[in-house]
Amino acid sequence: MLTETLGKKLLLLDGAMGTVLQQRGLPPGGQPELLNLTRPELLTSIYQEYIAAGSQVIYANTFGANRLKLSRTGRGVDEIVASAVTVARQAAAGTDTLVALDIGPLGELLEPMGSLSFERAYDCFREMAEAGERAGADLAVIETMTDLYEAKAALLAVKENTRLPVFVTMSFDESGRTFTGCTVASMARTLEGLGADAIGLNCSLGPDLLAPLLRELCENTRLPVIAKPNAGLPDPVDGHYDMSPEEFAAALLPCLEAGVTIFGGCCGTSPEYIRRLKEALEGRIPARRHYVGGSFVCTPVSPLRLDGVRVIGERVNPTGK
Amino acid sequence: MELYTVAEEALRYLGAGEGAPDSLREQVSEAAKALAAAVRPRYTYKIFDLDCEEGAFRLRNTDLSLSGETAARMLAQCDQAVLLACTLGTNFDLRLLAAQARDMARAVILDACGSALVESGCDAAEAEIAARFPERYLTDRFSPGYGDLPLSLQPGICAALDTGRRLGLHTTESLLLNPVKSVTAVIGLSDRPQMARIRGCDFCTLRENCALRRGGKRCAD
Repeated sequence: MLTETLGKKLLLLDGAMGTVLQQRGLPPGGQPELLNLTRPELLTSIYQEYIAAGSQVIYANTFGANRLKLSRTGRGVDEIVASAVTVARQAAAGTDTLVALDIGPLGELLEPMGSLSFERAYDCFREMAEAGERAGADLAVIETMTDLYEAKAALLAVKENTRLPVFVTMSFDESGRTFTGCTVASMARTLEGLGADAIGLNCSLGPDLLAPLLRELCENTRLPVIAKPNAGLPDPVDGHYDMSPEEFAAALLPCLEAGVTIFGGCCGTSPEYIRRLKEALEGRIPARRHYVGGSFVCTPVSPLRLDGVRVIGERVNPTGK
Repeated sequence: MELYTVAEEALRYLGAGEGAPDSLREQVSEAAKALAAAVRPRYTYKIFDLDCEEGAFRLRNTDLSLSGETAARMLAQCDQAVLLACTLGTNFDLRLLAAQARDMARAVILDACGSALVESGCDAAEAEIAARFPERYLTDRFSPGYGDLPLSLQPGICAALDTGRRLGLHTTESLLLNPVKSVTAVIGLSDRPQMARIRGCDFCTLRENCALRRGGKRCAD
C-alpha cells in the first residue's frame, strides 16, 4: 500500500512529458492532453521508457485536463481523463508502477486577483478527481501550484470526493515564495493540516536552487516530502535546459540528506535523468527528519507561529463592552 | 534607447511632466522607490524564426501569425522575432487593491508607478536581448493593441511563452492580462539598423489626439 511505505522507503516518480514530446518533434504549446486520443502509442512508448528507467509512479497525461482549459477543444474532462489514465495503466500493466492522476492549475487566477470563485475551482477539480478514480488511477498528484488557495481547492476536491492518496507540490522561485507570495512554511502547515499524504516542490527551479527550500519544507512538516525539480534553467534562445542528467542526480543528493524521500524530474528532464537518479539513490535510505513543531495561524503570505502572546486585531464590539 | 526613471515615467502617465508641483514629484518619487523595493518585474522571452507567408509573419513552431499593417511595417526587414512577457505579479495587484481601499490619490500614483515599473522591466529584457545578439538590430517593441495588432493574439503569445508556468501570467476571457501590470510584446531582429517606429510623433497613430502634443511636448525624441 502506497501510504504505508511513504516516508519509510524512497520513491521514484517520473520526469517531464512535455519536454520529451518536444524532443520527439511535437511543436511546443498546444494541448498535450489531446494526444491521449490522437497519439496514445506515442505516450505509451514514453511511459514505458520511464518505467524501464525506474519510475515507480508515472503521471498520466492530464495536467491541463480540466473543464476550463478543455473548453475550446470540444472534448470533455471525463473523456480525456479516462483515456489518459487508461493509456498509462496499459503502459504500466505487468509492472509495480503506479499511475497518478496529474492535476495542474486551472489556468485562471482565483478571486480576488481573478474572477474564478473557490467553489467553481473546487468543482473543476472534483470533476477531474472523480473521473480519475473511475478510470483506475492509483493516486492523485496536484502539482505546479502557485496559489495556496487553489491548491486547497484541489486537495479538498480530491479528499472529499475520492479515496485516492494525494500528493501536493507547489512551484517556488528563487525568492523562496510562489508567484502569489506564498511561503514554504504557510504551504507546509496548511497542506499538512488539510490532510495531504505527501507534499513537496516541483518545477520552476533546478535541484540546486530548490534544495534550501526543500530543507525549509522538511523542517515545517512531518509529511513525506517530494522533490521534482527542473533540469536547471532554460535558455531563452534555444529552450535547452542547462543541467545534465549526472549533474541533476548529484544535486538532488543533498535533498535526500535534508529529508526528502520522493524524487522525480520536471521540465527539461527525460528518462535518462530518471535512470541517473535511480543509480544515485541506489541503496540509500531515508534520512532523519528535523521537524520543528509548532502551532501556526497562516495566510499564504504570512505564517504566524503562536509561540507566545500575540497581538490580534480585534473587531470592536459595537455596544462598547 | 533612452531609459527614463520610473518616477519620471509615472509623472508622465499621471498627465504631469516638467510642470509638476514639487509636492507631487516627491509623492511619486517616494511611491516609486517603495514599489521598486517591494516588487520586482519578472520576464521571460523566446526567439522565433519568422516565415513570411501571404503578407503575414508566422512564428515558426507556433500557431502564431502576425498580420496587419503594424506587423508588416515593424517586421519588414526581420528574419526573427522575440516574444516577450513581463509582469509585476499579483503582489502589485494586492498593493493596489489595498491602496484603493485606503487612499484613492495614492492609488492613482501607485498605479502610474506600476505601469512605469513594468515598462522598465521590458526595457531590461530588451537590453538583455540586445546584449545577447550584439551583431543584430532590434525594432522597437510593439504589443497587441498597438496599431492594428489584435488583442486576440494575447492567449497565443502567453501559450508560446508558457507564461502561466513561468510567470503566473494568464489571459482572461476578455483578452486582458492578469495580473494587471503585465506586458506582452514582439521585437523584431534584423541584420539592418531599424528606425524607431513606435515612439515618436511621426509613427504614432494617436498623434491627432495626443494630450502631450497639444501641450507642446513629446514622449520621445
